[in-house]
Amino acid sequence: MFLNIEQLSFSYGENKVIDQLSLALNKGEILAIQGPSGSGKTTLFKIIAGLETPQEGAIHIDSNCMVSIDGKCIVPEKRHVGLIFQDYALFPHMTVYQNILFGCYHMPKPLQKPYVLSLLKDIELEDYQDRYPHTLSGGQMQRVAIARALASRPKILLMDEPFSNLDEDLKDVFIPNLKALFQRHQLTVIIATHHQRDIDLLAPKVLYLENGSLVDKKG
Amino acid sequence: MIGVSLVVLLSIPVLFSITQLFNEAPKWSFIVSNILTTYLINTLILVFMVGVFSVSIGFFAAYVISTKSFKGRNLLSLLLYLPLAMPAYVLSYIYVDTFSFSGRMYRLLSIFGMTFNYPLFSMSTAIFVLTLSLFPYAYIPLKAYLTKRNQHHEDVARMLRIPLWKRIVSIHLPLILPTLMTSLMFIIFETVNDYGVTKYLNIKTLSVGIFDAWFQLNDLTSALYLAITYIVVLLSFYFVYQLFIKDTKKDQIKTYEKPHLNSLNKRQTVLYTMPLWILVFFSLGLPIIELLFNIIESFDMNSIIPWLNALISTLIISLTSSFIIIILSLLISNTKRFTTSNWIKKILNLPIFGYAFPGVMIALMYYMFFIHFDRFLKPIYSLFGTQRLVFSLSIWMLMSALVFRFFAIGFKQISNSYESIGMHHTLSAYTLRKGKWMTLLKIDIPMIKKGLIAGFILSFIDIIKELPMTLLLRPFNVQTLSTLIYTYISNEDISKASFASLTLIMISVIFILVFKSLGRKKDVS
Repeated sequence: MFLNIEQLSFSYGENKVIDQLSLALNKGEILAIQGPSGSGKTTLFKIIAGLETPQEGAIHIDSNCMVSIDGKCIVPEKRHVGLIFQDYALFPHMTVYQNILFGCYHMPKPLQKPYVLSLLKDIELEDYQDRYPHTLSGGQMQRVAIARALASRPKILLMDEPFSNLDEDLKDVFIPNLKALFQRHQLTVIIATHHQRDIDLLAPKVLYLENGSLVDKKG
Repeated sequence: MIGVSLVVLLSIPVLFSITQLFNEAPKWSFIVSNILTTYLINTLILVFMVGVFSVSIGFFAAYVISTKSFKGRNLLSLLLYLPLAMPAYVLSYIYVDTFSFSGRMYRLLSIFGMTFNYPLFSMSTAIFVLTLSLFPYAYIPLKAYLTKRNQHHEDVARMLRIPLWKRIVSIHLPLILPTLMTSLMFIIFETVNDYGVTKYLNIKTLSVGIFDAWFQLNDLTSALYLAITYIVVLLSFYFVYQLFIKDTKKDQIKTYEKPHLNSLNKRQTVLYTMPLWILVFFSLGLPIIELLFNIIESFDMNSIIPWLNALISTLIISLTSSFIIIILSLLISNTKRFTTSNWIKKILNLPIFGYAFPGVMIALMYYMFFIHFDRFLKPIYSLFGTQRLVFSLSIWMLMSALVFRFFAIGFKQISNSYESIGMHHTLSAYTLRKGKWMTLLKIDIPMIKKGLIAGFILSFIDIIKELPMTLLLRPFNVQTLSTLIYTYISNEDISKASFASLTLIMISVIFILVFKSLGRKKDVS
C-alpha cells in the first residue's frame, strides 16, 4: 500500500477526535472523506501532513515510516505531502506566479518557469499570473492553492473542502481536468468535502468519518 | 464642509509660522557652523540606537508572549504594557539618582563589592531610559500581529519543503515588515521629540537645540531653522517608511487559523521569560520601588498644595484636550467617509502629521502665531479696555497645540472604527429620513463607542506625560504634573518629584488598564 495508516488515535485534551483509525490507499487512488463539521477531517489531514502528532498509531507513506508505534515522527518538510487548507493560505505579498513558483523551490532553476506556466494553464489562470491574492475571487484563490501544492510534486495531496468556492458550471470543467492531472501524475489524493457533486466528479471511493473512525457506508 | 474647515483651522498656526520663516534673513551659515552638526549627529545616534534596541526588545517580548505558553504569561503580557505609563524623563532622573555615588542601588551593589564609576549623564543612559519607556510601542503592535497571523502560511511553507531561513526571509519578514516599520516610525518620532531626558542628561539634540536657541539665545529664527532641519530629518525617515509599507494593502486576507502556543518546560520557561521579567523590573519595578522609597524617606507636607494644583491643572488640560481631539476626529472622519475626492481625503488627513512634528517645534509655531494673532486683535481688545494678550500664553494656546500634536491618535482610532462598521447602517438611517446629525448621534456614535473611548484614553495618556510643549506654552504660574516634576528635578528635589511622578504613573496605569479591558470585549471596533 502507498499510504498505510494503522490504529491512529488523537485527542485534544479529553476530547478524542481520532479513535483507532485505519486506512490503506494505493498509489494514484483518489478518496473522498465525508463527515459532519468537527468530525476530525482536518485533524486527520494535519496528522498525515505532520502538523499534529498522534498519541497512538503508525503512518507509512511509500514504504517510509512517518509515524511509528513508539511515537517517532517525521517532520512535515520530509513527508512529501501537500495540504490545501480551507483558507487557501496564499502568501498575500506574492503574486499568483510567485506563489506557485515558491512551491518549485527544490526543482532545478531552468525547469521552474515552464512548470509554473504549465500549472497556470492547468488551472486556467494564465492571465492572472501578475495579480495578488486579494484581487482574486474565492474560486481563483482555491485554484492557485491547488497549483502551488502540485508545484512541490507531493506524493500525497490532501484537500480540505477544495471546491467550496467554485461555481457549479466551473466545477463541471475544472474537476475532470484536475482528475486527469492527478492521474497523469499518479498522485494519491484525499479530499474532505460535504458536496456529493464533488465526489461524483472526482472520487470513486468514499468513506465517512464517524466517532473518530472511517466507515464505508456503501459496503 | 465642516471637516475641511476644521483641518484648515488646525493647520493655520503651522502654515503661518512657515510664512514667517521666509520673512527673516537667512542665518544658515551661522547655524550650520556653530550648532547644527553636533545636534544632528547626536539626534541620529540616539534615534538609531533607541530604534534598534526598542524594536529588538519589543519583538522578542511579542514573540515570547504570542507564541509560547507558560505560567504567568497573562500577567507578564499585561506588565509589558505598563511602561507606557512611565515618562522617560522620570526614568532618567530615577536611574541617575539611584546609580549615583550616594544612590540606593549604588550603595546596595557596593555591599557586594560591585562599585563602578560610570558617567551617568551620558548618551548611553539616554539610550537606556528611552528604550525602557519606548519598547511597548514595538511590543504592542508586534504582539497584535503575531497573535493574529495565519499559522497556515508557515504550515504550507513547511509542506512545500522550504528550509527555515527561506521561510523567514521570504514569508515571515515581508509579512511583519509593515508592522515593524510602523512601530519603528513611532519610536523615532517619540525619540526625536524627547526633550526631558536629553535636557536632563545634557545631550545636545535638535529638540534641546530649538529650546536653547529660543530661550537661552532668544533667537527665534535659528530655532525655527533648526526645526526645519528637524522636519527634513523626520520626512526622510517617513519617506523610507513609506517605501517599506507600500505593499501593506496586500496583507489583508482574513486569518483562518491563529497560531498555536507552544508549551514551555521549566528550563525553557526560565530561558525565555527571565529576560522579560528583568525588563519589567528595570522599566517598572525598580522605578516604582525607588519612587516609593523617596516618598517614604523624605515626604514633605508642603508639597501637597502645589501637587494638588498641578493635579487639577493636569486633569483639566488633559481631559479637555482629549475631548476636543475626539470631537474633531469624529467630525473630520465623518466628512472623510462621505468624500469621494482623493484630494479632499488627502487634505482631511493632513492634521495627522502633527504627530510627526516635535513638541518643541509645535510650541514654537503656536507661540509665534498667537503672538501675531493677539497683535492683530489688539484694536478690538482696546475697545474692551484691555491691553492684555488674550490668547498668547493662555491655557487655550497650550490646549490647541496639544490637540494638533496628538490629533493623529484619536483620529486613527475613530477612522478605524468607522472603517470596521462600513456605511450600510448610516445609509439605512438616511433612507429612513433621519438627518445627518441625528444619524451621527443615534447610529454612528453608539456603534463606534469603543473606538471613541480608546481614542480618548490613548490621547489622554500621551497628553498627561507631555513635557516640552506644556513647559513652553503653559500660562504663567500654571504647573501640570509633568512640568512640576521637571521643576523639582531641575532643583534636585527628588523627593517632591517622586510624589508627582508616582501620581502621574498611577493615573496613566489606570487608563491603560481601562484601555486593555476595552480590547477584551468582543464588539470593540
